[in-house]
Amino acid sequence: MCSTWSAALRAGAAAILLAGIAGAQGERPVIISSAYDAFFREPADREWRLFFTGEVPVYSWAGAALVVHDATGRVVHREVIPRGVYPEDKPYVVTLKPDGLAGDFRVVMVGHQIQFLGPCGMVRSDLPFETYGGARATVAGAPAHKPWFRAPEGVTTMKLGASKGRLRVLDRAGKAIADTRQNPLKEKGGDAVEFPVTPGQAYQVELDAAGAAVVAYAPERIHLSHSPEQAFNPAPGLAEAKFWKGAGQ
Amino acid sequence: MRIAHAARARICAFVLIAAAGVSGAMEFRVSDVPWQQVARTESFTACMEREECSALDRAGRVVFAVQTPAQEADLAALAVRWEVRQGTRRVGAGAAPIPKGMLDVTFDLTDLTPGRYDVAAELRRGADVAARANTFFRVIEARPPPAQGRIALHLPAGVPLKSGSHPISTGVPFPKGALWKAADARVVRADGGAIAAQFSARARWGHGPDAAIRWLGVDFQAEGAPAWWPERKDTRYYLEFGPGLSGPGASRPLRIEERPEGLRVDTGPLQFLVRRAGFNLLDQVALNGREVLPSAPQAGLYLVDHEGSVYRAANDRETTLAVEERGPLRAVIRVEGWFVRDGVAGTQTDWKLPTERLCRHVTRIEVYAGKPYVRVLNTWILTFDSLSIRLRDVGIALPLRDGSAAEFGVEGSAPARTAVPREGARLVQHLSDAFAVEDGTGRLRQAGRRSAGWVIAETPAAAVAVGHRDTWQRFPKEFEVLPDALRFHIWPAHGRIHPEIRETAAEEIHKLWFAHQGRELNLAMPWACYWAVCDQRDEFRAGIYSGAGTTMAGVHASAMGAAVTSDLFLHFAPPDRAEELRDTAACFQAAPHALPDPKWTCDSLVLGWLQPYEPERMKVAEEIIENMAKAPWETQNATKDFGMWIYRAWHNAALKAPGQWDVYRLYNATHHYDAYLPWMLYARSGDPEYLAIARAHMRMLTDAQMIHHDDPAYPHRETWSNGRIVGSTRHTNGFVPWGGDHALLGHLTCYNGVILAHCLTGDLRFREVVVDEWQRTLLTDRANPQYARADRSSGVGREASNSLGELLDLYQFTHHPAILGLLPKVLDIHLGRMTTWGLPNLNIVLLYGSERARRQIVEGIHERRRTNAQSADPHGVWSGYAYGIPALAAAIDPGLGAHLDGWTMAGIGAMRAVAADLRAQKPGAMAFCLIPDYVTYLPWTLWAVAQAGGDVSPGALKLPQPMIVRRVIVRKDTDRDFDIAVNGTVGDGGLAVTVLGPDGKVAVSGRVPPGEHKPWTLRVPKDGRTGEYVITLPYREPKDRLTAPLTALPEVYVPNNAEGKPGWWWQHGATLYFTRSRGDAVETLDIAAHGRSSGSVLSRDGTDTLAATLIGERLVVPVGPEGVWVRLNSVYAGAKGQPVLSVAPERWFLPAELMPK
Repeated sequence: MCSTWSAALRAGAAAILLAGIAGAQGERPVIISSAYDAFFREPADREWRLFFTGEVPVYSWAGAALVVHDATGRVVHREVIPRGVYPEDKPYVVTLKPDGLAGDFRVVMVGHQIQFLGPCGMVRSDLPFETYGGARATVAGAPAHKPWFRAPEGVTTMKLGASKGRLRVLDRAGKAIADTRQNPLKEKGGDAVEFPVTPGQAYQVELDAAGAAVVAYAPERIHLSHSPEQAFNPAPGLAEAKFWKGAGQ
Repeated sequence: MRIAHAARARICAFVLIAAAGVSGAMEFRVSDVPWQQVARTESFTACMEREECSALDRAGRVVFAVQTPAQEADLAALAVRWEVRQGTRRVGAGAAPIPKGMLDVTFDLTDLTPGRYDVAAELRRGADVAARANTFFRVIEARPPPAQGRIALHLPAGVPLKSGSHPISTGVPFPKGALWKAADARVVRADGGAIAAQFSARARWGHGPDAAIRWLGVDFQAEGAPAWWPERKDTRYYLEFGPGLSGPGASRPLRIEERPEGLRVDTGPLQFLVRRAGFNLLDQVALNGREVLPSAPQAGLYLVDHEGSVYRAANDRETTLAVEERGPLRAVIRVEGWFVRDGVAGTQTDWKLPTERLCRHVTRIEVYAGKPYVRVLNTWILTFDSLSIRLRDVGIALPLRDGSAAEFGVEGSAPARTAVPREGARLVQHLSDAFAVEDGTGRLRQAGRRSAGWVIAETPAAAVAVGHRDTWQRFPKEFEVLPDALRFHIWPAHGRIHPEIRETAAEEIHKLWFAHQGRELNLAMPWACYWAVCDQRDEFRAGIYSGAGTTMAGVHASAMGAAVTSDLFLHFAPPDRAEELRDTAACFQAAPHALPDPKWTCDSLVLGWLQPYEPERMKVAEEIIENMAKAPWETQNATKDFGMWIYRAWHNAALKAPGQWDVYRLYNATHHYDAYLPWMLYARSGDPEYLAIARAHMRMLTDAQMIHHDDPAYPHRETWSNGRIVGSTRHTNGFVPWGGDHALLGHLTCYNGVILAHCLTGDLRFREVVVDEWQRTLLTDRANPQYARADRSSGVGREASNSLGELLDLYQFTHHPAILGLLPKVLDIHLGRMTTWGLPNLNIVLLYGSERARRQIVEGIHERRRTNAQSADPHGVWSGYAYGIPALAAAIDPGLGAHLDGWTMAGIGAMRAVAADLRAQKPGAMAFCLIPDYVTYLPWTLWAVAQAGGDVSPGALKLPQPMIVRRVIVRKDTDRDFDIAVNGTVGDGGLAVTVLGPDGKVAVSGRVPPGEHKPWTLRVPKDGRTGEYVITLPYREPKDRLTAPLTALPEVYVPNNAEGKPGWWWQHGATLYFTRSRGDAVETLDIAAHGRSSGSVLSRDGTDTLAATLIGERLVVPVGPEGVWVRLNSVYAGAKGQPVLSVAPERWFLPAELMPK
């Protein structure tokens, strides 16, 4: 017997981006992300905040734990968000005081056997850089929403695919530089395409199927952001850091 | 008694309609049974209470049940017509409307001739037939058992009393038809003198009030006696039964008088009032007419929430009060109510603060004729959100006047005696091995390890003792004596944190320290536990199939609906008789019990075909049982699994390292029949250690691991699969015993253990959870949305099968007709696939009497033998934990010799080593859940072996074996024809067979065609010669699957090549071959199963295991001319040298080619 939830969590690197949800969520594109992989960059030590919006549901009666850790796995903050609904205009705010540390951080949320970032909520910050993703990232708001990513430093070729439908990669001018409709690479996880990139440059992805995921092929990962300014590639090893080691001490 | 009341109510509801308007000789009694209409589609079922009946059943029952989406409006228009035929002859018919959805139709069996009877029913809507249903029953001849006899009542742990006597409650099973009236019995001493006793019919074999008694409740008072165990010789009491037999009455029977204010009780020396309004436990307590406790309206049960509000049972204006059992020697008063906050009406209830009512209680006051004491069995039921409400104190208070001294019992040493200052004195059992005696200011007066579980308070009027069973085991606990009160704290008022304990360390985390220390009781598992498990297991997961995930479930688990039952003893004596109190208090702690003779119990068949404990006859098997069954308990002792919230839930997983558990599914409730196992082992042996295990497990199961209360307004729900509803049993998800994943039906329940516990001990709390919680929900709360989630009975395999087993157990206990409305679905599923999980197959064969089940089991044996355990298993007989199946087959048809299949499947050799490792607390020796999977069925196998005369030699099992050589040597001692019979499957192209004669030349040859052969035969004609013939059949693995032997001659197999080099051979199934030394000298056998497969070497008579492995280790044993059996359960096997193997000792010979030159 297999657990749906545990299966969801096994896709730990998955991210879900729900974008362009109008009406209840307002006009601003909304990103709800990710299983474990929300990343933030604090360029210099300062006080900063995380904003959780969504719901910690009743079956997660003891709340949901939010963990912030760095690339070494060191936990810099841990807090339990009580059960309840946190709307856009009244998010749950986590404040991280200046602590002499700066750099890239990952935010993980876990509740009761369920993926918390994803179906239940999203985390944003007041930092200039925030991104969501991993081996794949679902853009639930596609095709309306076109998230951004930044080509990693030192990388001149990337390979991305779509879990379903078509994927196009646009440069900052909006010109398509890759399209899975043209000479697609047939992969198990859907059509893919390999394309040249300029290291450090921001690109936009366009999916034509709702709920499709952007699939990254190793060694690269995909980190999607709301805007080109927010896009960055987290420090190597951050997603794999065993932040739970020593957590029981 | 409640059973009797219920039965009368049904009888009153009967409408006798002697087959109105239709012909037929049978008379039917019909009664309407309310049957909730919950289905979306219409259905109509007919279900017999059992398929096989006899005159010993006296009455038969068929239940017609209808489900219609239109519900009541439509039911009024429906009627049922039925007829009963024997062959083509109609023997009865009837008709009745079905206004409540179910008809209970009963009829006499005594006039029916043996044979099959078919019941055909029509559901009619006016003149139209809306649906049809059919069922049948068979009437067989049955010889009644002896109607009189004498049964030993052993006192396994004795009665540790210096003088006087102690109340004993037990249950004695009877075979069907042996005892019909509870009064036809008496208890006698070993010298034959009858003593006062009290009897009740605890369960019957059939549905009617005059059905034969299945379990007789027996109460008497036993004098001090030594333990019967382990010598098993000194029996002090016997139960005699027979028509008209009776014993003396109590010299001064109990008196319980109904009064407007409550129940006035007079035991002889002790008088008191149990109040209906203002229930303060015992009021107006007098000893021989003299008041010993002052009246205090606020006394009794109370609790304090974390804000300081006090809630008392005495404040509840709606307390219910009833005499649950009434007899001359023993009576039980049941009180149920709420804890109501001081100063409020108690009409408002919430799961969070503020609330006027916080927690329920069920309190049983057990009184005994001639005794100045009572037993109080208090069940405290949590009705609140345990993640937001904490408690500062939970206790029971008795009022005192001028309490001056306190004496606290200490295990293994003298009591701690102290004067009682104004602030009081107390003993707090902080830890399982640490108590402190303090004065009211907190000043330590004495420290020690273990309380003896009692306190005596001295006042000018009396000495008052309060005893509590398993005090240190269920820490923290507190006994407190104040000048004006004696309190027992279920949760201490003066608890403390123990900073020296690292709560989340690997060797501590399973002890749930958050719930066992501190000033307040806080059942919210900290997130720190989750992080600790992630750390220890190096896994960051939340799924239920991981240690971290189940811990996550524990973090979110709610304890609403869990309970804590405290087993208390209140004793009153004149001030100068404290010694008497000590003596009785110690006896109460020992919890004396009388056990009917194990052989009698087994022969009664109430527990199925079960062999009583016989270490002399079945030494190795009994050693395995004991090692496996006691290992978990001892390991839990070693890892200090103590505390009020974990004593004694059992673990699913194995010991990980000394002191550390694998925390995956740590507390596992009933998952694999753990709750049943120790009771069964106690009943078949009398070993009091099993009773101690059984009691502790059962209390935990029926307290924390079942839901006793639900609040529909409480929004918390479990995320994982199943429903949370009263009567549901907690499964595996959640680190804490009260954690999630509850179910009403499915493989997750084990109510048969609870039923057995009640029948053996008379504990009414056990009966209550079965009948008033589980059965009530099953039958009357089916429209509850949680019901659908908690009901897993529709699942194939273990879900429906265990549901069937459990429902049959429940039916045998209560005979509620509506249970038969639940049966058809699971019966159909189970007969389609007879998965063994729990006891469905025992119940369907023995209790229900299904001929189809019996046939399928026997077919399963034949199929297994024919295919060498490679059976396609068309009936699912071998699915689940099925090695009890051969024992059932042996009971169905003794001529099958199926005991040997069972003995072989039991893998005694390998399990002996496993059991020894378990008992030695070897980390990882075996997942504990597998213990009941094995031990539950071993006594069945022993029964089958005993019935067959004890022959367990594998040689008696004439099974074909997978062929292991391509060159078979046979010996022809007289000149004659002989046949080569090739059995098995031959693949494409066929297979050449060549027979070389004694001269080495081809004597005959042939080709076995492709296909399955049963057998293909090649005759070797008489040729004027004798000697050895070599048959070659170069079979190809895996497409040729042949079996040995090939001939009826002496026949041997030398699996290695002619050079004698070590090698491996392929075998298409598990093998069992005989081998021996080549001559008289002892040789070394060195043989192995490939990979991590099991194997064993058994002595020739099958009773001893000379070597065994579960993981493919080499088996190296000395072998003499007596020979041994080699069992290898692997695809490949190998040996050093050239062992000479045969299928039986009498077929073995040493081929000439291997004789010394």
